Amino acid sequence: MSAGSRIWERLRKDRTGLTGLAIVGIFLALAIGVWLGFFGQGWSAADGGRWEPMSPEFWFGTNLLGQDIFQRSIFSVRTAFEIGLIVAVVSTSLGALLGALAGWYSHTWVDGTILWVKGVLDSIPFYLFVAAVAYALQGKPWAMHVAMIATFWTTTSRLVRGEVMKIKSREFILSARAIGLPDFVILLRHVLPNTLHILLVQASIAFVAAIKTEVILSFLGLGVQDGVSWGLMLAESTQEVLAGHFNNFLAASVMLFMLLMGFNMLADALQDAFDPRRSAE
Amino acid sequence: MNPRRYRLAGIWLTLAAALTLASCDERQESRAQRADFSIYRHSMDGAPSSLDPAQASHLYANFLAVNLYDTLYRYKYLARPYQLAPNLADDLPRVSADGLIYTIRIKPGVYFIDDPAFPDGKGRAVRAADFVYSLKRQFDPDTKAQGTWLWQGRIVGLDEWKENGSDYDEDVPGLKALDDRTVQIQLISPFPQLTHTLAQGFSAIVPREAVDFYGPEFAIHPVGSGPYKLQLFNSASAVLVRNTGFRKEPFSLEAEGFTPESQSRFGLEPLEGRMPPFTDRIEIEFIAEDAARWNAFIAGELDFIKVPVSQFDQVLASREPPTLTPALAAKYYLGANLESGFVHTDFNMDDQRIGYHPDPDQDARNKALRCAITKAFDWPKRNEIFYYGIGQVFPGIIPPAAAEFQKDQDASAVTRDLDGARDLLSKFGWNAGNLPILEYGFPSHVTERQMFEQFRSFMSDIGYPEDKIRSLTYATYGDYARAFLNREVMLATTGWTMDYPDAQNTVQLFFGPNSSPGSNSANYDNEEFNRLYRASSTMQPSPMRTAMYRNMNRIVIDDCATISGISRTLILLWDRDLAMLPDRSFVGGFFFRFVDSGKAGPAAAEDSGREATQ
Amino acid sequence: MAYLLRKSLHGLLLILGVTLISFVLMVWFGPDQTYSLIGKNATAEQIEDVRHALGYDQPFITRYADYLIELFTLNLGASNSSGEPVNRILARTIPVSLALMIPGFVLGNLLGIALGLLAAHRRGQWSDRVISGLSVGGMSISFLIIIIVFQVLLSTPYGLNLFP
Repeated sequence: MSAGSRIWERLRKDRTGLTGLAIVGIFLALAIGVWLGFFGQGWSAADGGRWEPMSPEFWFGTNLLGQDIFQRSIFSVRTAFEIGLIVAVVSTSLGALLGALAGWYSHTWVDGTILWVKGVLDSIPFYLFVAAVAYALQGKPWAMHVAMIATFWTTTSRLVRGEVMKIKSREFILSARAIGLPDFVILLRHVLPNTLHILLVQASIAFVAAIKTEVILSFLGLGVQDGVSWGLMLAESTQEVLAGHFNNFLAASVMLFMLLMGFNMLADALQDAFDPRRSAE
Repeated sequence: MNPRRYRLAGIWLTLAAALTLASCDERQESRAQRADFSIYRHSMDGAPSSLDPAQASHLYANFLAVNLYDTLYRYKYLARPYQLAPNLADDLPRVSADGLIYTIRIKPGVYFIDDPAFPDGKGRAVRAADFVYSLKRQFDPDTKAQGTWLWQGRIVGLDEWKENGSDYDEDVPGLKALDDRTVQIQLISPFPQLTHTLAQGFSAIVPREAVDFYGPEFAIHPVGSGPYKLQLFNSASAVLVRNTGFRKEPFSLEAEGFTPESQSRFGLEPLEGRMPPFTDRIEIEFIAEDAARWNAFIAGELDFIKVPVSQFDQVLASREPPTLTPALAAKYYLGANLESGFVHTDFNMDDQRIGYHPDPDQDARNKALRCAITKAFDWPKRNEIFYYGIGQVFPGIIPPAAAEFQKDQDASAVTRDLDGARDLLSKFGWNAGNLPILEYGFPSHVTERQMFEQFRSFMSDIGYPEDKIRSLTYATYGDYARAFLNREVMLATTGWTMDYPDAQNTVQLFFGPNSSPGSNSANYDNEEFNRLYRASSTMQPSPMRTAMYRNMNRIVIDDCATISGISRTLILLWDRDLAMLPDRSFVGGFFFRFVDSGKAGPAAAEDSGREATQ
Repeated sequence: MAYLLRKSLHGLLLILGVTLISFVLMVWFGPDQTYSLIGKNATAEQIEDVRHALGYDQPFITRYADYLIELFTLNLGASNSSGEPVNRILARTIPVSLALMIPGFVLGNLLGIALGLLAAHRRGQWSDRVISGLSVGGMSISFLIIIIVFQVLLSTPYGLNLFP
């Protein structure tokens, strides 16, 4: 049995993990639907009255402006996936690359520099750093993404560095070097693929962290600038809940909770599946 | 499994516990103290960062400045429309026939409070030279003064004094102390609003000894001659205590402009003949968060609040006129205070995509586009959603708080006309394909964002594509101000708070030479308008001047340079135990000295719900 | 000895990096106070005056050096608006923040460790599952949501209305 199918076998037995996978799948389908223009397109029209209750026309009612809360919360799925995917993919790739470099050239100046940058970034409190980067880049469409990617890569790079240092001394690498393959070919073809299990888990953790951070940043006015997101909906709702209107709050927080829950369950199951010691008994 | 996860779960729980505990202590003492001496507990929705009158540019700082310091003039407590009254000056100024020389006598026997800044710690007498010094400070770059514009280019020699390096020992020909009690101001050209500027916190009188003694910390060590002195000040609260040495002047209902018909219910009559300040101690809580402020008020921790708009639904039983629900009316008085300012959205006329254009045809097309946008704007809906429908919408740039406001003017500029807007667009060849991208700037807060989204939905009703209306967001108001003062924002919404009740203060917003970074953020520049402004600016109030103001108003409306405007109605609530008439307009902080918290209101209970509109 | 030297050099470089980043992010590209400190109708000249008073017209190196000196001498200067020395503001506010934070931090950690030990001890039993289920749930809730919920619960008529 190959490693991949062994992992799939383990995952399939994990009921929690499968539930998580199903939830994430449903949300992904929603996001793709919004992308293709099937639903959520009326998120910005203000056709309704102020704070209308749930009705066949407005499933989750309307907000202060008379916008359809259901459409807004659905459109936000796309926003969440956009942010989550971009940040997860870029930060994990960056972490993999830098981690591999540091591990391959360990105890040289390359390793030293990367460790130094990582040490510096890790010494600054996370939310402070992210908010400061988003503030410094305000007005630029990618401010929030850059802010998150700049911090999220460090954990991945630490794990990958350790793994690469282990792999480096294995036989198949030594023989690849012996036949004179260039370093980067060995790194890309033979080393990095062996860290895939770390990357998958880290990407799913980064995805969750990105969505949670987006919510906080948008709430502070430093996140999503054009469009709608759960963070913006929650920011709106802080004023509405005091006047007794909970639809915006409930829609955004329930959707957010479900997606994060699904991802956390999946990430947990992935970790168990990849690491046989964790589920030894 | 991951141990970090358990730690997180624990943090949730304890955070919850900590929140619960943290919110219920404190503040029990103030009720108890009430028996010994009288206290008035005021609330504000923002905090001043400096108590230096030279920096009293916003309402919060101004409220404190005029209580800690003396100004030459103030506004009468009860007169509406607002009227000037002498404060430290013994009478209104004597003005020469040509309107250029103002002579002002100050009251004798007025002393600064005792302070270590003075030799042997005793406050000395306030002299005319102190006023001269205080006004010069506005022209000293080291002061970081914010009121300079009120006197810039007005007083003979003052601008030159600044250019020569702001040396306080150097005399200014147009700003002199003739003797200890007489101030003489000589103007370059007539400035009929001068007396109003002397009722601003900016012109409050500070002693040079204190400024020198405290240096930069003068901002938190006020030493003045106002009715109160400072006991405590931080970002959460300020405590003012009565200045026992304040001059003794009996309160007179008549002199303050009392109107029995609308003001008799507030229990002010017994104050006649007593000596202000009436209350020993004023505690001001700065609570920016609406919910927290409202909760503190309802819990009885505050005597006064400006009700947050989000609470209007639950507080008001009717809108016109605003009345309280019976439960609240049994405990509180209501005052509906029309703000002395307005909110408007300006087009950047300097931007060739929407404003002036060298090519006359394109210029006409741009104007048509601006007018179409103005016609598509739905003012009643804006008012309903964001101001609970009790704001006052008016056409143009002379708001209801100005004496020259015209009640029965043509309201078509603030009436929605979708057909007219569409006709205009098609007549000038605009269509969804060639309409320019509109960049609408705002500080990134919830309400501002919602206003933007509402604007976008108004525009989509005339076929303006949604993706052509973009947001330019800024993390703070300061960043936003930097952008529009540097002419980077195509459409900018700003509010203007009037300094005095003369429309000159708002028409100057569209005077060409005041363009950014001045307060003409539309960068509007119309020859006829500029001519009228120059001519009217030296005129005393008169029907002719009013006609000129209204003419200028018309010109701005016809050019569609701004989408304007609305004046908000502020709902003020205060405890029925208090005899007072609070104000957030021109009287502002001057009302503190007249607050009487020592008595119970007359027949407080049966007078349900209906209150006067100020 | 050499080891010690290398370690301290390492620490120094780290501190330099942290200060450089925090300077660039929070001072150089950080909030610009100018436009909150100017009055109405300011002229370009007055804006320049304020920028000068705040030191914004200085070159990068000068400002960074000033920042480092302020940090290392613990002389943080005075607040731009109130003129109060920053050290005194910190002395006034930090004890309050700590008093609010520390009990939560300590209790949270203790509770977390206790629950973690309990779950590890009873691996696979129902209490492990309950605790891990709860913690996955806890991780999936945004901090923001908790805050809003508490605001509603504690202080509006829709919740417990503890502070009416």
